[in-house]
Amino acid sequence: MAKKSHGPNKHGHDHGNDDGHDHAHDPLEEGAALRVRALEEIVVAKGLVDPDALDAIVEYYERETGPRNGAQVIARAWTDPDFKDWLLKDGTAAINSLGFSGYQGEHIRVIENTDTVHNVVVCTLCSCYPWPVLGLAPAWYKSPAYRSRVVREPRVVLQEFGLNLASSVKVRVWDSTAEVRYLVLPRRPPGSEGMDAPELANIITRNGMIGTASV
Amino acid sequence: MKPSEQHRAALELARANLPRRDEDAPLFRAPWHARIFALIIALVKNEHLGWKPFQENLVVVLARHQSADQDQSDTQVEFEYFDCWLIAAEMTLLEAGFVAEDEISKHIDDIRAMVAQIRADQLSHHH
Repeated sequence: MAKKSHGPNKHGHDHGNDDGHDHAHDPLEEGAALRVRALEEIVVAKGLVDPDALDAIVEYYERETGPRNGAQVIARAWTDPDFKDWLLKDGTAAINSLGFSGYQGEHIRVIENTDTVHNVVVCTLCSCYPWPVLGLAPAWYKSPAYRSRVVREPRVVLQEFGLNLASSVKVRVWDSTAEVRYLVLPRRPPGSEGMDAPELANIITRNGMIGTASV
Repeated sequence: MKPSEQHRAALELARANLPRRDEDAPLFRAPWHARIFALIIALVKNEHLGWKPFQENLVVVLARHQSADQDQSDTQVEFEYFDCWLIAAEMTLLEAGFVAEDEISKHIDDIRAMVAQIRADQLSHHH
């Protein structure tokens, strides 16, 4: 799954016929694009939504949310033990205190990686994901392959992500839902003792906070 | 090579070929993905819809329509996912009574007719 689905050459060259990127066709002829336009016009005409609100939402998700928010949360936890305690006890409140709140972040639980336990997050049913701290989920997180396999064979999947865990480390898989979304607190890497919070935030990756990378 | 070494060598090779998992991948791969995403979020935010009914529909649609193919590209995953999002959106809007069964296809026909008319007018100006 991981290997096949991430090649940069995959983007833009192997689109199926139905993927809407075929510029030889008039965009209006594409079923889904036209359907969405129709749906939006109907809902707007009935006064249920304001088209400007749609623009604002797209802009918000494109600019304001993303894994850099989560990285700030993790860096703070690594450098401030009181904040870390709070984060593990009440993730939602601690995250809100840094200014990250909003939709799909109403209940975030933070789970800590240790010497003996590695955590990894999935949404087995759909794509539940803590948007305020990680932005929108990457394609692989939404793929049927990841969603089914990480539960069945987490170590193999993690290996495909390049993460080889010692056999003494237990892997725990957490299933995000509409009610609770999980964020992984990775272990602070050895050798990072001299780094301050902004430097630490730079080495924290999105996958580290999902659990498919160590940091 | 012993089997275990072979296995390790194969893993090393696989890992070397692993492309960087990039956080900068486009958020939406087609404009309509962004629009239908935002349409649902806007309706939930202004409380015309609940998230739960939509999410429950999304779960059902994903289970029914998402391909079991384990080797899909990111683009394929995204297009299939947003196809499901669109179907779930329509289901939820129908259930909420915001849209009637034949209203969408009727409006699509209207849009097509309008576009055809504009093009016909353009052509007649050219001649």
